[in-house]
Amino acid sequence: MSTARVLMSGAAILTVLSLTATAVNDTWPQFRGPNAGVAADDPVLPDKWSDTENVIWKAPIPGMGWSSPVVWGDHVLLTSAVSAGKEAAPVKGLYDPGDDFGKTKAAADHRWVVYDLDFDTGKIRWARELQIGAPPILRHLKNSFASETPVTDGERVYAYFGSIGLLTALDLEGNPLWKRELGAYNGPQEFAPAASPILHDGRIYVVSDNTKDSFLASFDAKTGREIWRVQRDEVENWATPAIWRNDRRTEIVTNGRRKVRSYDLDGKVLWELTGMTGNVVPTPFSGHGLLYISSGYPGAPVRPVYAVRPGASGDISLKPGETRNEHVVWFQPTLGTYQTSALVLGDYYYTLLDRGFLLCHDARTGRQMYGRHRISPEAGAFTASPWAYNGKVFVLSEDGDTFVIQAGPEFKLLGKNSLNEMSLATPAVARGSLFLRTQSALYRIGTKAGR
Amino acid sequence: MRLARSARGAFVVLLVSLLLAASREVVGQQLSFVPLGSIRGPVDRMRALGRFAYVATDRTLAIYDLVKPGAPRVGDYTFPEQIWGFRLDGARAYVAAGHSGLGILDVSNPAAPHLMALVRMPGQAKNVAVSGTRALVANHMSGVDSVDISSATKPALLGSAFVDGYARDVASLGPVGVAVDNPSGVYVFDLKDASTVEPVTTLQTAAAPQQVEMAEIGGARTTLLAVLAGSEPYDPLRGARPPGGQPRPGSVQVFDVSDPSRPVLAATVATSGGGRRLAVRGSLVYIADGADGLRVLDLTTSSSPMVVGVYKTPAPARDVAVADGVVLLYVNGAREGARAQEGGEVLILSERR
Repeated sequence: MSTARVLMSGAAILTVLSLTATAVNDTWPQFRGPNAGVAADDPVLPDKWSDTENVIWKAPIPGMGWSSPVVWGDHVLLTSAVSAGKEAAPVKGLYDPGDDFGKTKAAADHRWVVYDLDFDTGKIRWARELQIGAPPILRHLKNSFASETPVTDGERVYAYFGSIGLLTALDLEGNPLWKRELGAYNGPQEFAPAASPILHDGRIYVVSDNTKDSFLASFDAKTGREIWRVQRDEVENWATPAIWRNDRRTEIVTNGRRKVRSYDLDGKVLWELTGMTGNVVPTPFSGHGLLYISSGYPGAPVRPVYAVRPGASGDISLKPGETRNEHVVWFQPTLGTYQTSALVLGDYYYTLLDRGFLLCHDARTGRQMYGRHRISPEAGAFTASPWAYNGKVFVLSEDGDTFVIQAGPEFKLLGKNSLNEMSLATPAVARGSLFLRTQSALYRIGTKAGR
Repeated sequence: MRLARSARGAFVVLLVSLLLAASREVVGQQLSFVPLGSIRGPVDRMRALGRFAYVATDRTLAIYDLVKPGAPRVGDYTFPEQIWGFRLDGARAYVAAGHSGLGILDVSNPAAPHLMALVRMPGQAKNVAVSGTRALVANHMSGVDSVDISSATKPALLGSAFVDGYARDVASLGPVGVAVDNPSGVYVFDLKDASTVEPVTTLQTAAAPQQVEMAEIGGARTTLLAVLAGSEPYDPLRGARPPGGQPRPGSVQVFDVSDPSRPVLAATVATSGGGRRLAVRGSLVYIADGADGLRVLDLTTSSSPMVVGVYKTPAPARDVAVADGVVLLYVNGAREGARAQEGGEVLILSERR
């Protein structure tokens, strides 16, 4: 084949890929969107903003919720827990919370609310109050009672509040369709849950790991009927499950302190993996035909990242001294993060350490491209997971500063955009706009071309 | 303030002790302790230098005159946030004040401590060590911050060294700095090298160190030691505290850091009372050993620490500070892990040899 033909073929492939990517840019229906934080490239998406620049609208959001917004058509949906009193303010950073290890009792009754904002104006279209009362469990000072991101299929929005054990479906007019009481449970540290529900093929999946009744359950999205429930030998995790569609099958993957488990769509365990740290938060995700799983409680001697190939069964844990096996393609012993989930963009696996460092590895092999690189002397703590578009990786600090980094095997900081308010929620990207949630507001950020 | 009955006589003894005991080497000799009085709690951290006790409670650093009868409080300064740790260097107190950062107090006039600077660090400052014009700040988020303090009114952050876990404490002696993190990290810094903020060596073999102090042992060869106090590491799966509020088992670990590039664990001593705080003077390590009170180890032979003194206390010993001839021992009967607001008292002990 001649060079020209190769180039032409390459160009054609790129065009097809580009068109394919553009086609999935209209919605952001779940935590981290349809592609684990990677939005389709779109030249109108912003890479510069402030609390005044490129702000299409800013909507105050009552209460406290670290859940992410989700977007479908003209609907921008998110959740919050609104206290009737004054609650202890969250503290930034990986801080020492003192003798109670951060667990906090609510000061007053709360209202658990789902909001629908108009995409064009940011006005609250409806606010559906689902429950009022005293939170039955404690939470970590830095957690909220509305940390689970809702999920939508464009017909209904499904919200799960682990703090009150409520799973519910609303239509996009805000009318309640069904609800299920799943029990309000906490873990031994009493930090309150945060794992979001996920949706696949007409079913909602909820994981609840707690001290009393840990389970993974499947519900009919239309009716709320429980289809199956399996018990789990876990007591406390915060990781949202992942749907892994691979060339063999579709799996539900849950991350956990005791075991990573993959289930088939009927709740049968397909494979298991041990070796995670305590306080498991990162969400599994897939790319390049691999599944990436990690955890990284600070100071744990092993903070692993595993890349797993499809088709596993049984226990695929690495034996002492092993760094790979038939199913674990690569393993990094100390790359795992505490709060954030990693990002795969193109050939590279990006790790955002909570304390302000970015690392880059080859996504297929785990080979290090660059090691711990401090993002900026100004960069504080990070909880939100990174996202990407247009060849750039974006990381949002708890200070509300988004640092823009050139994607690729060399670290290059391109800029910083500040909203000047605490931010822990992972943003959403849809229809040419970026949706950033701060402690008190939701911003729609976009360029003039994207309005 | 509560005084022993023979307060006046006792403070005369203390004054004499302070004047005579300076830098005398004690080796293999049994120590005894005589109570002289007390300072009312609560206490979060405390240190002693010369005739003064420096006591941090929540946001306030208070100064007490140990020589005057009744050890009166002579001055104080309140920071905007909790004081997690501090160290004294001459007429200055270097204070780690959480998210408020590093504070430098001029304490040359103990009656009127004067804030020279308070600069934010990248995260939560837990403690500080000072060596010449450089300070190391144990920072819960950023690791170990290096700060240029050549201008005490304008300290400047030079950079931070990442640590794997939660940075807990940092100490220095001469050109060597040692930081510890939870659950297992020991980081040795060569402070002669101003070009880097990174540690020379990292070990991940310590047992949940909470505190570090430095000691220098003379002899044919000067030995530099890092003395760590630790306890069983916090396990998020098992929860915060053992059932029944029992203290977690602890230990004192001694690392020889004479060669910063090759630190060596010289000894480990179990602390039965879950002791976490210690103080060092010369070759002696004073341990606030919980229900076992005060224990004193002699590190003259660093591989074989020898117990040279004990003092039983009416309530668990929680913190300790030493100056020449006097030992301050904070005791508090509240459960382990409880904040210091629940009372307690600082016992002022005269040390006898």
